[in-house]
Amino acid sequence: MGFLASSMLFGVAAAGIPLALHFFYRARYKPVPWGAMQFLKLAVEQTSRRLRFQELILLLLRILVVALLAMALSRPVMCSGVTAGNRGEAVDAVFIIDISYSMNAQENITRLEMAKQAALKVTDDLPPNSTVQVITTTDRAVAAGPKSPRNLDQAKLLIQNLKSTAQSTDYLAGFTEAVSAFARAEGNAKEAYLFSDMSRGGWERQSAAIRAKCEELKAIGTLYLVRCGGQSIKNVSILDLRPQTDIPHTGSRMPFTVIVKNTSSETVNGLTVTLKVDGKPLDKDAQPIEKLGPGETKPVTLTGKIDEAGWRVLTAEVKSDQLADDNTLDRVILVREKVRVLVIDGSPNDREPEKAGSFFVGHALLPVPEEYRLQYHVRPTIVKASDVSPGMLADQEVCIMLNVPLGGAGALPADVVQRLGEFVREGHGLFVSSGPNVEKNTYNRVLGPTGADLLPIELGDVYEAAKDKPFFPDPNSIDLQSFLARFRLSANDPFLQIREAFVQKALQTVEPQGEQAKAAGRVLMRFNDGKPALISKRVGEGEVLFLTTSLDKDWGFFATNLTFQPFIHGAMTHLIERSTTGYNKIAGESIRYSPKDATKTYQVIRPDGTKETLGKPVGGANEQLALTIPSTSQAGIYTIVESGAETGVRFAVAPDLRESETMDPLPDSQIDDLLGFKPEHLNSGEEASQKADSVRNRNEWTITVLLMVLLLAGLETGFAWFCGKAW
Amino acid sequence: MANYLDPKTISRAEALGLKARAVVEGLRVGDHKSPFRGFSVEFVQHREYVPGDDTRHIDWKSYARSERYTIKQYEQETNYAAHVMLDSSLSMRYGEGEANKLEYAKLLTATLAYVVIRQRDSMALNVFDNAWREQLQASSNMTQITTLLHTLDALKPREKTDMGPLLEQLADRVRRRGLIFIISDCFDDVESVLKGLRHLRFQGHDVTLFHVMHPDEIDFPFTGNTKFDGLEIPEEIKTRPHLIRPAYLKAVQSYLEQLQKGCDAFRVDYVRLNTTTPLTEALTPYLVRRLQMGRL
Repeated sequence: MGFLASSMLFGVAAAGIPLALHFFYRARYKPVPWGAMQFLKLAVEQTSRRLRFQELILLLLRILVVALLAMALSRPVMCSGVTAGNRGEAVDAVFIIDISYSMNAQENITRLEMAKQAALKVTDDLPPNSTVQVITTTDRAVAAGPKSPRNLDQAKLLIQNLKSTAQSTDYLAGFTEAVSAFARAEGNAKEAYLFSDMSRGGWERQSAAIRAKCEELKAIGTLYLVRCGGQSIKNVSILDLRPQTDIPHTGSRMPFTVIVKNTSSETVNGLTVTLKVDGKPLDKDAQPIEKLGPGETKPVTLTGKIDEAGWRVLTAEVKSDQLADDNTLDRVILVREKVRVLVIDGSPNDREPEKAGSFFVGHALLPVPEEYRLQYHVRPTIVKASDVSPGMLADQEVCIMLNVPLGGAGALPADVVQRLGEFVREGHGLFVSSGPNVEKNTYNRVLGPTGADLLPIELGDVYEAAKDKPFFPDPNSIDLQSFLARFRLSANDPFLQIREAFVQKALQTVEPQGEQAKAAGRVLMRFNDGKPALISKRVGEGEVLFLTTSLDKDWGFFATNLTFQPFIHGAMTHLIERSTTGYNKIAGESIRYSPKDATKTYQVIRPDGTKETLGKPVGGANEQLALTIPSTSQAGIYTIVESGAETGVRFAVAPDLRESETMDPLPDSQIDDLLGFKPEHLNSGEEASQKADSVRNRNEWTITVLLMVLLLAGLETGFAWFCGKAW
Repeated sequence: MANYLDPKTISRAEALGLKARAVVEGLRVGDHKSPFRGFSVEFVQHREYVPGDDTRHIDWKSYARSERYTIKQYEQETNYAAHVMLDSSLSMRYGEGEANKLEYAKLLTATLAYVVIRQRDSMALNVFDNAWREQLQASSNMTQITTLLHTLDALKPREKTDMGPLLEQLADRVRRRGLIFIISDCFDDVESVLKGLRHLRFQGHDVTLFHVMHPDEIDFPFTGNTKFDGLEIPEEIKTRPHLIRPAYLKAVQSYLEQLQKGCDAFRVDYVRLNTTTPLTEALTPYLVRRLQMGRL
């Protein structure tokens, strides 16, 4: 049981009043000198026991009446502890309205429209003098207003003008803000309404924290979950768009991979995937997908030739489903004319170069005949480890270390190691492969957390497979979010041939557990025995990839496999793409740009075409100049321009695709299980308002308790009369 | 000195006269019939002459008619002695002003005394509680009234009532039959009271019990928390009187019935007096009744 006006519970102390009066009046007697004591004594003897009993009963009744009255004034509510509005009493309502892009799913109308209508209806039907606070929620919550919670017209206007975002749902943020809103509300009756499609991801992403927060809400108000929509919708989303195997460059046709996924539970037919560069279609700009089964992910390859180097915007689109927001994905890429790669070989072999790792890597990086190598966009430079100087890293995009010793004769100079750290943190890529020269202790010390902090994982001993049972990369272990996804997703090879890249030896690693695992690298691929094969770690603005086997023939045949060339090109492309990270954001993230001119004023042109002044960049002196766009709720292209200009630096903001993956609605029963209690489940429309009203009526016991008070007061009066009556 | 002689009451009492219900033995010829038939004015009967009778009383006319000696007998009118027993116990202190029981009783005593003495009868006063406090010898002299009034004026209530033994003492002491007026609230053991009354009646006295009660003692109209401080006993009772009223009334009623039944049984004239009723009104029915009875 809970109390809406718990302060009135202090009134229970008034139950002591009858007791005090009882003793007070017992102590106050009117003296009467009396002669006929003999009759009085007789009368008292005959009645005293009965009178004492009656007095006790009356006293108890009076105490009970006062205590119950205090209880009624404190407005008791249902035992669930829910604190609710009651029978026409003003309510402090907090509307948590989900504006993630799944709310744009088209049923008869969009789910967001359903939410708006339900919220407006609830607002209209609130008791007089109620207040409304509107919170929009995605994976972050915003107290949208109104400025005065009592201004319901302003609240309604605000609700009507709500727009969806490209962000994903995480109800924790909304519930947390609702708790704060409840704290601001002054009334006793508090009601929180979540208007949402109840997407699974929103509940499950931080379920434990949501449970705790909802417990808090339940303790101070009533929680209504208003389900908006709920029909199964057909939805296909574009999960990724990236250059397929090559670094974006000018001069030749390039393949791009668009990964499309059917996130709904129904098969989607007749899709068309298109790709544009700077808004213009590529040569081969459309690719049909006849059928995409429930949950099926399909990579689609689109090719095109980009003639101009520089920052370009790729836009992939898919059509024909019920949710448009995840049908378009923009990517800003840097198209280069040349890509310089420094290959450091720790075991070069001049006499038999084909035994050195650099031989295979060099060929993989230059997969063209000798006569075309000068025109090829990749320019590898192969050097011995001991010959490397820090200056060699200048102008390089990526550095590849092949079986490089870090100690002893032929080791990489220490200043180069130090420069490598800076090189990566500036935004470049480093690829490290193992081999006999990779000594675990030296590597852990020099490149580990106590050294340059470049090593994605702590290295262990070399381990060897049985001769007849070599290891090989397991495509099923590949991280789908990685550049290796196509090795896993390809239904028909050649990429699946990576399973034939047999390996005899590899380095063991020490995979951290728990909190340490978060700071450690991410395993992108494992061998068939489950041991890590390729590990990635972001370092500063750049990234390090570590391969646990060698790229020469000493430890196996990874480099001789047919898939090695796409593998190494994918890795190079991925590492080079790291430099575009700052230009590709996910909805909700902030954009930071460093202009060169501190004197100019800048504006941002948002995807919907609206302009917003950012002002002058901050920083200078020792700090880098910076402009920040804190809010990127809409997906699309944000362009930062000098005031008055129409062109500038473009940033691509993609929808938060976690929403597409987990947008199936969670049933009420599962929500109840997750929360550990039963909130009030409503459906959008008329029902929401009606049921809220009935819940208000149901929750409060004030009338019942008042009736009990009345009954007891009547009983007390009757009994008092009966006791005072002569019989 | 308080005025205990209400002219209105006294005039009415005088007009009606105070008649003894029964034959009263008197010392002097008065208005009252004597049980001793003799040779006075009012003829009653004849009887046979027996040797020793005074020959002056022989009715010679009767002898002439019947030749038998007969003696004439006359009913002798005598004065009587009225004894007033006035209760001055502490319980008589109850009541305010004229409704005070003792004051009411004093007024009654004075009235009776005035009427009795004006009839040339003698009047004695015995004031008591649990013992004799004041006693005035019987006298028919008008100065007796003055003495009595002074005695009454000086009277202060004290002690508890213990009437029974005193009634018996009085019965033993007063040999001549006469009128006994007992004025009391009778807050005493009813058996003891009745025993004393019986004794008096056994001695042939004409006994009248004036039972003086305040209406509060009969109706018990109190409300609210009340502390009853015993007037005669050092005891206090705290109670809510409206709650015990039924039981109280029952107890009082029972007591009154018992007292009245006892009085009826011993042919004691029982007169209940309410102190809020003017004495004239309260006494008139009694006097009328006595007059009627006296003429029978």
